[in-house]
Amino acid sequence: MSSEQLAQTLANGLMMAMLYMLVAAGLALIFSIMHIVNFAHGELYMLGAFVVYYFFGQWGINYFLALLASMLLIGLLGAVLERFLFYRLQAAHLSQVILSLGLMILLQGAATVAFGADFKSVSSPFSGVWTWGGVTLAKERLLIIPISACLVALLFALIKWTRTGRAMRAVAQDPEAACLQGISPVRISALAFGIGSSLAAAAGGLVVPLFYLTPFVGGATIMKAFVVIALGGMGSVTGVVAGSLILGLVESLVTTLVGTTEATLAAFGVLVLVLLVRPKGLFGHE
Amino acid sequence: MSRSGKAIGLVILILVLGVLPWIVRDGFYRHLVITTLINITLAMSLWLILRTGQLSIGHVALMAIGAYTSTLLTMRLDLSFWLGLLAGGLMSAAVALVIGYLTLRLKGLYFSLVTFALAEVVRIIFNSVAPGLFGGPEGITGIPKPSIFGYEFASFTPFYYLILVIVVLAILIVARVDRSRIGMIFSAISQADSLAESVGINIMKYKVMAFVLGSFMAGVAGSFFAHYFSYISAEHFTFWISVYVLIYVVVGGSAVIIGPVIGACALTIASQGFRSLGDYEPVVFGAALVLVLLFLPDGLASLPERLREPALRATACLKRSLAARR
Amino acid sequence: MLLSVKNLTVKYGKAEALRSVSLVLNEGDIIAVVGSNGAGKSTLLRSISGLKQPASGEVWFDNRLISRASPSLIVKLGICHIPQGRRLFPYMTVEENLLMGAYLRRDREGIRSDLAEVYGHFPILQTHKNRRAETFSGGEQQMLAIGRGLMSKPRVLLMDEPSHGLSPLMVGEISRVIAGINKRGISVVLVEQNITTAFNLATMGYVLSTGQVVLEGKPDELLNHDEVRKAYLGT
Repeated sequence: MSSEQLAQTLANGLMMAMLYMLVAAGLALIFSIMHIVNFAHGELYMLGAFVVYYFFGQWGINYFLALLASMLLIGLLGAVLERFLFYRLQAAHLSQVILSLGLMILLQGAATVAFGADFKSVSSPFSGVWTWGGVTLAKERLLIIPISACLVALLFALIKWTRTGRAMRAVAQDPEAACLQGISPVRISALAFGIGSSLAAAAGGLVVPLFYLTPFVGGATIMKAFVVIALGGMGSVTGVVAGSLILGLVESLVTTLVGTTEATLAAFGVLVLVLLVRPKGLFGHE
Repeated sequence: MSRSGKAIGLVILILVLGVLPWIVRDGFYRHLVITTLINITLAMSLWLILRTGQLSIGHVALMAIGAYTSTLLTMRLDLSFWLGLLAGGLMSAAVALVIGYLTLRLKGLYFSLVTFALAEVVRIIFNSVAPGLFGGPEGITGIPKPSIFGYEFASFTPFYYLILVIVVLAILIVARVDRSRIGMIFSAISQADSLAESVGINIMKYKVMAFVLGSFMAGVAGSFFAHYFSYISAEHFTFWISVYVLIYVVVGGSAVIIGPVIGACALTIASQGFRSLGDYEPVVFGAALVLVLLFLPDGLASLPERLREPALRATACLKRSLAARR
Repeated sequence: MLLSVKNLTVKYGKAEALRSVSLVLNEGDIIAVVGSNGAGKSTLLRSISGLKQPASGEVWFDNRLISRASPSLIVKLGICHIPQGRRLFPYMTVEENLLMGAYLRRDREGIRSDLAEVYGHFPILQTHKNRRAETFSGGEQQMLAIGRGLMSKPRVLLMDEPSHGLSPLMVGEISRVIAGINKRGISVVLVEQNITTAFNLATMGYVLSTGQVVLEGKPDELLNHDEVRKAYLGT
């Protein structure tokens, strides 16, 4: 592989890594507060993509406004799902996981009925490409990197430095003690779910100009998110950064060198291996 | 229901099942019957695994392994269907054994994720790897029909009796295990596995046992599926099927053995009995699961009890007020 | 009468954890609630702080009925429950734990000055204010838990076995801390298994046994009572 090809591969890998990071960060946030894996997360990503498809692609609204709208709408949906469905099952984790599976197919089915199963696409909101060295990236692809990075950084800042973020960590570490400080666990978990969902929606919206859109795009994405959080450590946002970079870059390299199927298999292989050998991932808890 | 009522009901059920091929003549409904019976087998097999508190989300993979094994053995090596059926089940059991030993020591969540991942890996392998062997995305067609003593299964009736026997055996085996000491250990594990371990129970052994047995049954169901439909492809074994089987169990009722049967019957018939669900199937199934989890956690099987409760409470109230008046 | 509990009955399922329990806390006092394991002491505190809803009976605070109020409201009103086992946020630092105590407060300046005051009382916390709570010893964690409780600017502190698992030296230290807090005007409901330390601090004592108040009175009277030994040992 020439150095130009390598640079291009790494650039693509970085872009995908940032997308995975966005989706996985949301998933990790939800996991750390609720202690369950939300299988419906991929569908929130998919719905976020559809909101942008309609707002920007069909109704001509400004792309960034559409993204924002998607984040708000899907964030709200996530908060509602948590407040009225998941929270009712309280600490019954197994039931909550099963619930998320049910929601997964419910949302996928509803989207199929509402939007149709055909391949949809939008034209790029930006014209032109960006080149540097041997690397060529369409502008909409390039933009994913700083936008994702910003959102994840904001999430990080929220968790580490704000009162609300501390409240989230408190609920994650000891919900009853959090209660005794006056924190409302139901509000915090709804908020966390909402934020996690809006990040997934953002990823979906960013991807709409890149690939074909169907109601089934959530499935593959959630698999990748699982690999990331397994690699990085289930509840750790830092781990998500590391995990997604590893996955994105490795996947891109394998795809260029061998092929997409092998890359996907490799990703799953990594997931299985990590879970078997070091389930805590690279960065453990928190 | 009184004991004699139950006995009569059972006798009627057996009679109806026995002469079903003469009652149901329409091809569409016959197909529905067999599909339902396959789903009951799958639900039963997953239920057994769930009994130990392990949530396997990759169950469809074990079915697929059974299907492809039996298909390849009968088509490439000219093995008889019956050996293929057995081999399919054994292959699934073997894979489950290996996976089980590696993963069942993990916390439940990690086990579920691994089953999820492995199911996808299996599907991708059958879909894209070695197309000469697995038929690629188009799958394998022309899978031979079973034959016994030279008589080929050319119509509905022999298939029906075969799957009926499989279902009955599955239910009997699972019931037998569940009621035995092993079954008690299963439920002890699902409720508090560290506690069970502290009294000396080798929980790994029992978790693996349930997983292997359940997978064997799924493999057998898969083999039957392959030879009945004569065509399989990776498309038949998607992740959704795993979720559907889980839905059969949970909606039917995961606490009692009759639950998965009820769930599989109710949902298969709901989905295909009226020809109209189509695209709405995942919506209906997903909604059914959500509603059951929130409002009827012990599934449809608990419905008669739930309905009786308000009646019971009313009688209790009445009794109390009558007593108060005296 | 700042805080009063009237005929409180609390059930877990069908089992009664507390049966018709009544007690009174006057402003400025420390009252002790003692009893052996399973007597219902923790349940009592949990029903006051709102973690557990009572089946019947009333809890009054400052002429306000709080029996069914949410934990959040109860903290806002000025009752802070320091639970058994400290229940700090293990992966948060000392300072973050303290700030959590002030979660419902909006007065930045007040919080800052209270934080400084807490550090003044517990200098060791200030030295290691950026260390994670889980890395501290039992006694230090108890200090932190108390500090966190103080950060909510409570009028009443509910303390559940603060001396549990601590060395005699530490127990003495904690007692001094509690006495000091009380002198500054905070009333305390002190739950303990260790009768001596509890009765040394308190002006009023209650003895719980299997969910009921079997004895109440002034500590020195109670200590000499035969019944105390009986109830305490749960015969």
